[in-house]
Amino acid sequence: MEKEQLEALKKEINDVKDVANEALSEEVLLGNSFEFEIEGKTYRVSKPTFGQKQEVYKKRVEKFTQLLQDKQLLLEKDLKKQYKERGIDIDEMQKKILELERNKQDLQLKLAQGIIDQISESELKTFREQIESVEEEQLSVAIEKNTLLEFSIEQQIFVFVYIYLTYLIAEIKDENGKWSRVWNKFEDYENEKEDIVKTVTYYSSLLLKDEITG
Amino acid sequence: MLTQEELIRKLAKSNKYQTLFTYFKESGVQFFRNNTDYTQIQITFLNWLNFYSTIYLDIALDYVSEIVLENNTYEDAYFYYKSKNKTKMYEEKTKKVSKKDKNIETQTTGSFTWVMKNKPSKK
Repeated sequence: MEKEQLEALKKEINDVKDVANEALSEEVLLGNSFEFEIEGKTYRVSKPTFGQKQEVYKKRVEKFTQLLQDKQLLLEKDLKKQYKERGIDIDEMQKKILELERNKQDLQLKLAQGIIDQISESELKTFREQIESVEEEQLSVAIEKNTLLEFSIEQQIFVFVYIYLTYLIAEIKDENGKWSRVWNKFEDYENEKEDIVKTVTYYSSLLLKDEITG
Repeated sequence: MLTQEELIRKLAKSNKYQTLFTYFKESGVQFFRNNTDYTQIQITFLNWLNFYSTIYLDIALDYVSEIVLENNTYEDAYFYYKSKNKTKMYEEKTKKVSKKDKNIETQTTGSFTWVMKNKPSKK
């Protein structure tokens, strides 16, 4: 296949994915619960209730205490110290991210002034490219920083909270149309088929976006 | 492929959701399937709807040209500028308007600027 044809096909596939994702995002946005099917069964994830959030909070404290006792694991601040000894400065990365944000804001003010003053499209494009380049650099530093801190206790707690909340909010519909919890114990969730866990977690992550902090 | 945030922005910018948002603001028409207990992502969507509603209004009021809607970078830059220069932008606009039409008179009272087509009569 010619390179152009391959590019066109890739674009077409991405466009189809965008339409599918758009429909999915729209569906997730319109309610505070979301139904989907896996292997012919109907599942549902819903916005966590106050009680469920309280339960997660208790589990979070428990998990934190448990991980803290494991001498193999490190808190972010200790991990940062170890990286610094190896010549990697995480705090400097954070400073860099903020510095890039200030650069971006300066460029945004210039670009907006240009839009208002109706300067030429090529000048606007130059500002746009400069901003996008700063954003790319900012993203790259942020990804590097997050990857380095991925195994800190704090990050592990964050992932655990997501998983535990998914376990709590997932429901399944029986033949009489009645909803009940998919898993009665967390161990049942952990022993579930990978496909089901992955799908339920994917849909719950769409609904739980920004619902949990830290 | 678009990220979830880009998809949310695309929906918020669309005519369909801008029209629904106007009804939602003006007459409280139900917007989501749930009337209360919004998810964080629904709140984010409302923020984006408000963001685009503001830009569309500014275009209608001739504060900015339609080119601002060409991409997310222009939109973000304009919104950031607007948040930093809200008063300045309004003053510049009213100055421009008064230059265009000599019959238009502006009066500043406190933080409001009244724009009048005809000069108020002196009694």
